[in-house]
Order: sequence, then C-alpha cells, then structure tokens
Amino acid sequence: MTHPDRALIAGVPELLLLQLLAQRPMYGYELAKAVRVVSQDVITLGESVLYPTLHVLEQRGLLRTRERKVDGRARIYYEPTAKGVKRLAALTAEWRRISLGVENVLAGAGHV
Amino acid sequence: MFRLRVEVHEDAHLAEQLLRGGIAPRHVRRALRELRDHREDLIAQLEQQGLPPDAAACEAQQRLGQRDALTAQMLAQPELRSRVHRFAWLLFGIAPLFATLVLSVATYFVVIVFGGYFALPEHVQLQQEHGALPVASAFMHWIAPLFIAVPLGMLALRRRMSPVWPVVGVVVIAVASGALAVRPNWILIGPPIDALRTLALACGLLLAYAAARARLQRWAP
Repeated sequence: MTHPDRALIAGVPELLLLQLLAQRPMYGYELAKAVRVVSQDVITLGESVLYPTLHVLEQRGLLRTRERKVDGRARIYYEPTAKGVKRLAALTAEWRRISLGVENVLAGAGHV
Repeated sequence: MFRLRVEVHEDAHLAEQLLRGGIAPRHVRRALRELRDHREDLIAQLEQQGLPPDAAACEAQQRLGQRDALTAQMLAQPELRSRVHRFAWLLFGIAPLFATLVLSVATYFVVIVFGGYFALPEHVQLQQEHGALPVASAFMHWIAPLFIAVPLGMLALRRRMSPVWPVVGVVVIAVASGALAVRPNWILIGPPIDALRTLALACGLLLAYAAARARLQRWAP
C-alpha cells in the first residue's frame, strides 16, 4: 500500500510556484500572471493564497527573496534555494505518481 | 484622493489584524508592500487594456476581493508567527525573573567592587546602612524592575500582544522585586516577600501599561 504525501493537494500552489520559479526568479504579480497563463486559465492563484504561500516557503528555506529595481520600482523577487529545488523534484515525482494512478483508475473504471 | 485614503486605511487595518494575530512584523511589512505593488500592477494592466483610471481601480479592487481571506490564510500559518508570540511564556514568564536576578547580582558586585568594600579589614562588619548599599538596594528594588518592565511593555504593545502576557510579566517582576532581600554580605531572592513593595510595583507598572495601551488604541484603525 502506498502513502501519498498528505499535503499533496494542499501543496498544489507550492508545486506550481516552485516549478515556475525554478525557471526564472519572479515577483508576486508576475507569478500570479504566469500561473494563469501557463495553466491556460485553468488555475488562478489569488493574492490571498499566493503571498502567504510564498512567505511560508521562504520561511521553510525553500525560497529566498531578492530586491531588484525594475523600471524604477523596487520589486521583491523570489527564487528557489537548493532545498527548494530538491522539494520541487520530490513534489513533482509524487504528483506524477498520483496523477498516473488517478488516470489509470479513470481509464479502467469501465473494466471493473 | 479618496481611493488612496481608503487603501491606506485598509492597509493599516490589515497590518493591525496580522500583528494582533501574532504574525512577525517583517512578514506584515512585506505582505503590505507586495499587496500594494500587486494592486498597482493590476490597475496599470487594466488601464493598458483601455479602462479609465477610476474604473481600473474599481475593477482591480473587485478582482482582489476582501482582505479577510488573506488575513485568514496568513493567520493559519504557524510558521509566520513571530518568535515573541511563540515564546511569550518564556519572555514574559521566565525572562523577567532571570533578568531581576542578573541585574541585582550585577548591581551588588558593582557596589562591592567600586565601593571599596574589598579593602575593609576582615573584622569590620558591613552595616546595612553603610555607604552605597542603601542606594544599591533602592536601585534593585525600584529602578531595576523598570529597566525590565518598560522594554517588555513596549514590546508587547508594538507586537499587539494579548494583555495577559504583560500582566504575567508585571506580576513576575513585582514578586521578584518584593522577594529580593539586599543584605550587607549577600543578596537573596526568596521568602519572605515584601507585600507592600510588590503591590506598589505591580499597581504602578500595570497602570503605566494600561495608559500606554489605551493611548495606542486611540491611534489604531
């Protein structure tokens, strides 16, 4: 019997944010937009989920922040730490395993 | 102008709620800054799409929704709580006792070393009223508690802590000071407790805290 990560579903924002930030550092608004665009409007992360999640990930040492000036405005950019990259790999593997299981069930539901 | 005033009020209200919930000030400051940036970016984007500034601001406000959801999400994260809130029992329950002891012993040694008491012949007994001892005693009983209580009170007010903790701190400080006995050749924290001193200190400190808290609440949104 397998024991999927209990925090998997609750950890979807974490997975999405880590994945996007692993590609390039981004600030909050940019991230929210990226989630919407990349998921083709399927997923929208509101500010009430986005910022608390970013702060928690930073607190856990999975993300670090850097302040950068862009177009005259100081922005808080987030980027994953080495620990964050490892966590992303673990979450991705877990997600793929679960989603494969769910797909198999959906595909084979008629054969039971 | 009206929009700006509403936003400033909303931000202040949010900050107050988060601080009262025990969220660390650095997270509160950063969240407020990020939310402001987020709102400005959204408004700019809507304006680019052709909306007039006021309509863009209204639309952005509608999309961002109420701040209560964000407050609830942040308060639900124990990792975002400040150490002061997480270890309040240590800071207000144990630390004052320890600080009273350290300050008293330090004062006592300063008096002994700089008061020239080491130079006294062995057969000379130090008298209670001798030299700097009464001054040191008064300092330990009345001034040192202030050195401990004032920073703790200010911290509690700045972090919007429940009044329970400063009250606990005041009681500990007052009892420790009441139990502090300064004698020519030793100091001691223990029974008997000087009830009058304890009560006077506790009442004075609690009144000062209550006044400062009432003053702060008049300014809070």
